[in-house]
Amino acid sequence: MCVGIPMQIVELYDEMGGVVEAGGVRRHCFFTAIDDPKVGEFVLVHAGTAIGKIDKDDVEENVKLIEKCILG
Amino acid sequence: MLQNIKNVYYDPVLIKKIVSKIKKQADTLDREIDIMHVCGTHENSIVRFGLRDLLPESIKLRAGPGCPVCVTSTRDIDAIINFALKNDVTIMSFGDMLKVPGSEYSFHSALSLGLDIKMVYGVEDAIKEAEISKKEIIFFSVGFETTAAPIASILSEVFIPDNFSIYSVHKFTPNGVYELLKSGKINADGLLLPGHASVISGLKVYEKIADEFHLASVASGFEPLDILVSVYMILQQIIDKKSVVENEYKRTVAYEGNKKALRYMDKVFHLDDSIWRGLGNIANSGFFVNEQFKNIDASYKFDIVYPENYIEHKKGCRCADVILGNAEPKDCPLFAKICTPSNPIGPCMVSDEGTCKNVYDAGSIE
Ligand code: SF4
Repeated sequence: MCVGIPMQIVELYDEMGGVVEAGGVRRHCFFTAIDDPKVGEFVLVHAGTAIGKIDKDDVEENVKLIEKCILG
Repeated sequence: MLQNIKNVYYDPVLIKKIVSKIKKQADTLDREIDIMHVCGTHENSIVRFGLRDLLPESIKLRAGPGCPVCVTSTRDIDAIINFALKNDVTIMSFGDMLKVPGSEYSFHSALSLGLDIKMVYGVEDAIKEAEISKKEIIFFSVGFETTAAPIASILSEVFIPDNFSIYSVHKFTPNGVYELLKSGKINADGLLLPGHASVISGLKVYEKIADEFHLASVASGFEPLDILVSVYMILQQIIDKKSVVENEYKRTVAYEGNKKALRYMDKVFHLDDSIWRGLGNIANSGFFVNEQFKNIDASYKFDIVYPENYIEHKKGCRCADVILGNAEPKDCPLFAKICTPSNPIGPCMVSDEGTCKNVYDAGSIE
């Protein structure tokens, strides 16, 4: 039940909802729990609602942390 | 971007490297180390990717209380079934919840008694049903903060028909874990903190736990490399004699949590004592609907009578011990013999987050 799927915002109806996509699957998503959703952004979707954004800088920071653990 | 993430987190070369570093750490420590996770989705990844087999003998990964339907009390299930059978209402809930056994019936098996029960993918399905139905719709609202917060945001923002209400059995992971540690019901050397629940709560709430119980704590993602790197980080803290909160899942978890989601959660719910199945009443661990939203609170709107007696676990079922990480599914005499996913005797055999279901499925694959 705590499964979260990273999906990309492909359409915005308004601030509250739109369409997200991953692996060719599109579905309706609520954006009520995140600030300022934009088409093209990646979000973590849980039970039909985006619960957080996944941005490029955070992804890079994550990879750096892992490199540090493995190589450090 | 997402494809690149996947490639990194499944890379066999990186996995081999981190496993060999973990082996060196285990040699340094020279004693058994217990790491507990409190998220059913972590258990699912650990079993699916065979991560326990990659770790040295002395490093144990144990499943703790991380499956929300497993800790939903039969008191609540029985009360809602009894109420719905006597009144003209439809019960709606997530698919994971429907097969969870109550004292006698699950929502699903109570269909044979005439229970009107429907499955949803999200609370919006129940709201839509209320728009077209003449009956009262009760949404049996289950899940940790991961689920409670987005539900709160939707309930705050969309039009809610008069015939819709929710019955909240939501639980708050950090407070549940804190109280279970305090009572000595669970213990460990390190904690793998739940990735997606922490997206909402943030990590500050776990500082008290790490400090008070001297627990090396790391929030972890769900891919194989995430979990192994988190194990490495926990072991490093233990070697360095530290017990702090660290974040391995930086691409998704912000230390301060999702502030907007937390605001909605506070607006709709407050914390109070709550019964966890087989574990008793746990202080400040359940989300209940606020006064301001009482019109959509099923327990305010209806006279729901709670059973005086209810059976949390049937004879032989070791779920309470499995949930606390004190027993493994194979320790249960009913496992895979009488209790199977198509005939679950206890809640741990129902959902993909239940430890017994995960172990059963892995056995079936072999
Ligand atoms: S195998 Fe079934 S009966 Fe045994 S502990 Fe697990 S859920 Fe309970």
